[in-house]
Amino acid sequence: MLQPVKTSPLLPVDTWLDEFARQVERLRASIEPDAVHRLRVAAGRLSVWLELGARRSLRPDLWRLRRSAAAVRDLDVLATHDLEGAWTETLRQERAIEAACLRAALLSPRVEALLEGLVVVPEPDAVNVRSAIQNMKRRVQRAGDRLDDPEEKDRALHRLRRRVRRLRYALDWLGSDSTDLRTLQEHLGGLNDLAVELARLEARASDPALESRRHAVLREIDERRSRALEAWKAIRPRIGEM
Amino acid sequence: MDLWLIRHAIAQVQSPAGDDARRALTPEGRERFARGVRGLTRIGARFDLVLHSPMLRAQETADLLQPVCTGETAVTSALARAPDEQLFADIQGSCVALVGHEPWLSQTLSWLVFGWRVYEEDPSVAIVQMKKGSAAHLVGDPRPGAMHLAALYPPAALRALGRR
Repeated sequence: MLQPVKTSPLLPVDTWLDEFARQVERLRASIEPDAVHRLRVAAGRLSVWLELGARRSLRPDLWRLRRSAAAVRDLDVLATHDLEGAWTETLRQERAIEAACLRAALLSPRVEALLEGLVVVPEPDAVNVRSAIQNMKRRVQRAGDRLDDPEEKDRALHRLRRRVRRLRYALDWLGSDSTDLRTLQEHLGGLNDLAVELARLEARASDPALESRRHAVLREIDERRSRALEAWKAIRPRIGEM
Repeated sequence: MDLWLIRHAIAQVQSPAGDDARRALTPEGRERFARGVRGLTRIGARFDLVLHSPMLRAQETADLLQPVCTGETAVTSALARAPDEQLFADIQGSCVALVGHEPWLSQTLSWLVFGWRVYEEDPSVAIVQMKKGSAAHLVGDPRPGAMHLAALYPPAALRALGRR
């Protein structure tokens, strides 16, 4: 019997579509940290899949959902640290508000429409995939080149983190090895978590109970930044060959 | 506000899977609509929100509207069925495009202009019938009876404007 010709070089999308739908369902019942994280990952991977097919529609919908989940996720990351009493309560209240916003977004008919829209998108073809991956590599390299600009410093690292993540997801869709990128992404992700925490600590600069944590975060940021830059220097010459 | 109703471009008669929602635009449909978008550019249409149905041909048409979209795009199921209040609730902005299907787009137009769903009483009654790739420009408040039809652009007219 003749088999259908496979034109897409990517792994099947069904696994991540199912994962996305499953986490939407879980979160509608309860905004659990694990489900928030998994929703963000699934939405990010699907967004890259659409980009590999040169599609723009639905990506803004995924992005809005990711952004809403990110507000909860940032607070969940903070909650894993050993924080001072009064601030913990403030963060708990903030999380309840952000969780309510996320739940409202997930219960909106827009999410059903997004799921309906995603299932009808055809697999990306090889020509689009090749061109999209070349663009992603170039964007990663350009973001990395700007790390030396002292005025760009933290912004450049933030940009690099997002672009590395997208390239890593794209390589994962191809079934390629992305271990090195994953290591770099972990360093950059850890740095971003600390930057988010520092911004919140600075907003409460008058609270003496948080002073020691602020100093600890500043130290950790320096260490993480050095590790991230080393990882970037190691991987930089190999980006083009990935 | 300005509201633009845009019917999807020419699509496959049938998708490979035989599923209506999976019908993609044809190469000719893409090429013609892209030329129509140049016409929209020419007449100064700029959308701060493009809403489209989840059906593939509407997604692909919304993608082609990128040159005239200065804001966000969003998917809504309200464009994949007969018009209801949910659709009007989704319309937020000063210049919004709705990318959808017939007969629902012309029903939306009738409802917004006449104020009642005249087509429910007599399905043969429609102010306009929108061809694939055509655009209707309405002005007013996006609620029944509060808009007027400012212009209707058949696809060939949009393409001709794009050539000028």
